[in-house]
Amino acid sequence: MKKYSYSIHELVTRLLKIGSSIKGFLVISTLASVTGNLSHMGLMGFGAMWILCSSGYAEGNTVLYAVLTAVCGVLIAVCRYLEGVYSHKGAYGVLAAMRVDLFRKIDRISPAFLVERKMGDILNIAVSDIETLEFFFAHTIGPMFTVIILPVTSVILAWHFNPLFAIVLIPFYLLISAVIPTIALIAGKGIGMRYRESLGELKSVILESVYGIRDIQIYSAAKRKEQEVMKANEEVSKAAHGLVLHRQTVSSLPNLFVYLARIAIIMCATFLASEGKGDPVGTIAVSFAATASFSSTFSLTFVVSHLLEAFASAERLFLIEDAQPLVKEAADPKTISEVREIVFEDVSFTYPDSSEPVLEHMNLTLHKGEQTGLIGESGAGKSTISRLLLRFYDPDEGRILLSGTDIREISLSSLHERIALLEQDTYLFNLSIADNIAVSKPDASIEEIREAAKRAGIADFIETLPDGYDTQMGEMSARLSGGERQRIDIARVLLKNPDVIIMDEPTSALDVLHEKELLHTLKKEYGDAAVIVISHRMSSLSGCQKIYKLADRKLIPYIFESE
Amino acid sequence: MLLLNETLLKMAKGLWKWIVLIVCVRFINLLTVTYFAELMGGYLGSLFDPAMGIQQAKQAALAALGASLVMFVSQLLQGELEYRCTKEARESLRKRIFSKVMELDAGNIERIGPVSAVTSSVDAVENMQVYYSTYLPSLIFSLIASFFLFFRLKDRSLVSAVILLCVSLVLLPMNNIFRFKIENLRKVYWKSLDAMTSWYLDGIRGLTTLKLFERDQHHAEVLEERAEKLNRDINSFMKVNFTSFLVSEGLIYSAIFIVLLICVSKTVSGTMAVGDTLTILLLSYSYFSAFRQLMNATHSALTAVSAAGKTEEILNTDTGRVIDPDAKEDPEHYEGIRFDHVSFGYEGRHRALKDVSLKVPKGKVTALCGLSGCGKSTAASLMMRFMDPQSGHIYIEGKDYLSFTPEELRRNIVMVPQTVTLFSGSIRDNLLIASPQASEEELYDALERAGLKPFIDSLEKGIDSDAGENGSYLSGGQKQKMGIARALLSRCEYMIFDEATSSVDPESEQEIWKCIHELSLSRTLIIISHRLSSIQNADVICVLENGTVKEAGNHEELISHDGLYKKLCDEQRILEEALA
Repeated sequence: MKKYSYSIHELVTRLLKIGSSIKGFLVISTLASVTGNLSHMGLMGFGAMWILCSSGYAEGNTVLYAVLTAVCGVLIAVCRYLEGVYSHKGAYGVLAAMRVDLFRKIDRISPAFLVERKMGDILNIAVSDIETLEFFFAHTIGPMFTVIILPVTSVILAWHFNPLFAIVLIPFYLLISAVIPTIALIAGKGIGMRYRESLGELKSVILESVYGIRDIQIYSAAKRKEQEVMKANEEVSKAAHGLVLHRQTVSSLPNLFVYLARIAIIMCATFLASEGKGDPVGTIAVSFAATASFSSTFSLTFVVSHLLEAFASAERLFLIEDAQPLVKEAADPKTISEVREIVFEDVSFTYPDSSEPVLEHMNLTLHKGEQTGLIGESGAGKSTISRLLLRFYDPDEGRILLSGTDIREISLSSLHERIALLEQDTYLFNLSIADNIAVSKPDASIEEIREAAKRAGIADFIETLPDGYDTQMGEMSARLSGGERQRIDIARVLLKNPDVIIMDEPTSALDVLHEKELLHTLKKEYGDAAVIVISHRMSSLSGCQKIYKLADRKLIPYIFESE
Repeated sequence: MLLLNETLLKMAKGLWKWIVLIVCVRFINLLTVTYFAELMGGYLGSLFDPAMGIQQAKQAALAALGASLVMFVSQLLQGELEYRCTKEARESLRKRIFSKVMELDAGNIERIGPVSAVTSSVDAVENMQVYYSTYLPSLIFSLIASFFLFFRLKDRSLVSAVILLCVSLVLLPMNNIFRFKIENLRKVYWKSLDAMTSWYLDGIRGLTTLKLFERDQHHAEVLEERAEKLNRDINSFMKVNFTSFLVSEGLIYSAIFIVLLICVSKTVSGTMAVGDTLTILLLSYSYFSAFRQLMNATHSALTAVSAAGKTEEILNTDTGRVIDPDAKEDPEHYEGIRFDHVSFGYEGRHRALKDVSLKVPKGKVTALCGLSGCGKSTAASLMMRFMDPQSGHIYIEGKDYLSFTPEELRRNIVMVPQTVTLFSGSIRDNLLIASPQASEEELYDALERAGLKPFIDSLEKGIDSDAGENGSYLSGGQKQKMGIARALLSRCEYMIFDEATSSVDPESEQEIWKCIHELSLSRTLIIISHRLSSIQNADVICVLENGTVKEAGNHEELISHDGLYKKLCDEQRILEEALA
């Protein structure tokens, strides 16, 4: 079995803790599930008794059995309703809470977490793992009880009529709800995996075809891509074949044994009759009740396999939950009013999962009103400097001072207030353009937003959109060029009034005129702020008075403009 | 439970034989189940008969054993048939959807959403198969089973037989009464699911931005609200959904009860044997399991129907291109490409090109420049026939564009886009996209001329090295050079470079321009660039502004009068000189 980072006991305890908020719903749905399935047995058992009593073969109150049969019929329908409604009510409730919870947890350990992990992995945990747990709460706990209680009841009933029936039935129950499913689970392990893998394979072929559609159309290569897709599709079908054969065997084999069990009961009855201990009523009641006891299609293995999946998902979630933020806010954080000077003092830094230092004993002093450029090869660690300044991480050695105060003592909100980052890749939210700009200042008036857009050089573009500032960015965001996205980010920053602005590759997608306009705007709007421009392109740094080059994990003065 | 979807039924062609076979096998299974029940009922009834001998019991057991084995085999067979059905469905659906997706133009892809296009071709197809392999057979089988049971029971008790038949016939459309309400609630809940999911994913993807602007807490609060709303909507949906189940099951069990009541009274009056009554109880119980299976299948069928809804949008998109071999020839018979009063606008956006007339002379270099959004890339896309003009004509060497299929046209004209896409596979595979029959020599020649030879030689496996997912093993500059190598392999006369160097490092930029310059000696080039210094040697420079051609001419002509081109040039020169 796979080794977990947590003990099973710990996983179960924590999962139950999550489930405790919906305890009531879980109890109702579990009770309903068990009662409903027992009622199936009752319907058949009492029904048979009713027939036998009425025809005088058995002794008993005919009316009572008729009523019991009817009650069981009602219970089956009502319990199915209750189980359905309450299991979903509970599970979706927990799902909602877990999503919000996870978001807050990821938020707590970000942005460092987002820098290190692939977005795909994070989204996988955020979507698939949480759904697995939903399934656990909605469809695993109820069946777990049913799968145990039903056979036990029918064995007790059989024992009551004649122990021989019970002895005959027990092996069948063991076979049907434990042995066959366990073999199936072991045999099926690779099969489900292969199907998912082949589907993943197919997905990636289709994904790159859709994203690379332009190149495919340029070379009229759609037919060839289609062949590739159909080849991957063939693999999916092959894997699905295994899956279907497996599923069908797993469901028909128990079915066969159910029929064999029924035959075994008859053989038993015949044997008892020949011994002179025959009890036709008992035989019929057991036979009918046992038939219905197999009506529940759930098996122990179904429960166990879902339990294992739930454990694996829970583990990934708990790892996030238990991750400590790399950066902790001081117990008594200071706020700063104005940043006049930034000093990197002997700063060394290595990313947590790496052994290669990015910065070693780096020194840098920046002043208000100064425009500073950082140039260097991509991958040299230019962005690390902005990440340290914004406290995504803390330096391993040395310190960073804002106007003489160590940034570790400053509150994060104060830091974010004073320092703004223009990222390389601007993320646009699924909101209107106006709201996307106002992310930085939620109470901004539309006039302020328009003004910011104008100053960022994006106003004209927004005016050309049919819905203007109300254009939803969901579907449209793909049509915005990198430059247009960047200018929205600039408008965001313009709504704030930071003392320090870091621009990470700000103009890589702007054309000359806008690049110039932008640099001009920055100089005009932020002449008295400290501006740090990070780029691999000299032309973007043209407005900077000082340019440093990042090489060999150190900053070296590159060009200093004479005053 | 009656869920007949037009889109899905339309695509069922070729699958009916499997559906019929599945129903047949299930019917055989039903026959055996009935036989078994009758055997059991008869045997159990005869238990009270003192004449019952061990010999008879043995016979009954053997027959039952035989029946069980037949059932087992028929179930396995059913699985195999279901697989055959899904395999065929998977193949035909996927082929259809994927080939349609490949025909979409940029505007349509954007409208549908690339993610939705992928899910339609992958997940939706997997979901839709169930409709054919499980739902339709279940539906047909339930109908057949109803009548079969009727004929089986009518001699024993006509009233019971009629009741069971009526209930089954009522059950089928039963859920449809709820359907309307369910569908409405489903829409409500999907809408809130969508609102919640997109907000949630948006938050995780844009978390850094939110955090830096101190908006993360607010985002979490809204998420909480939306999650709660979703929860409420799901629950009201589930309530109605399960109520419909409640009604169906109520009907089923009432019917069983009433039938039982009738049979019991008959047994009491002595007109029916106990064995027969027991058989009827067993039969009606296992018979309705067909309906329970249908109810479960309906659940998956609903997923299939909603999946079909998504693909419908793609399949219904009109990708048919006007191809008119008899389109009028260019009255000017221009040697090269000529735009004649061409206008084009993306849906929902202002016109990207307004009444543009321009000429691309054969064998020369033509540059398109202007500010971003001026329409230069749109012009290039039209030249590639990624889309067609809304008005006006484009001619190539005297022939109207409409007289060629896009494929024919693209044998003459090729593009190196702003970001070249590499597909997973080897570097060789990526080159062969452009020309599947290219010889070894041609491949290396293309690599050499694109300036990639030294890089390829440095790789252990050379041209057979893996390019990585999305070409991740190659740098941005190397990818662009791969684009050029591909373009060379296509041997087209016309080559478009659409901002081919805008996202590469300065060193690669230089190398690529050198390569473009060499190409200009032997081909017709159309260069789109915002860097004016790189296009000043072009034979014709078209300056676009707001979708119209502002100026055209060579560098000397344009610079000599005070227009947009001169303004842009001056600004750029100042900028580049500032930090030479």
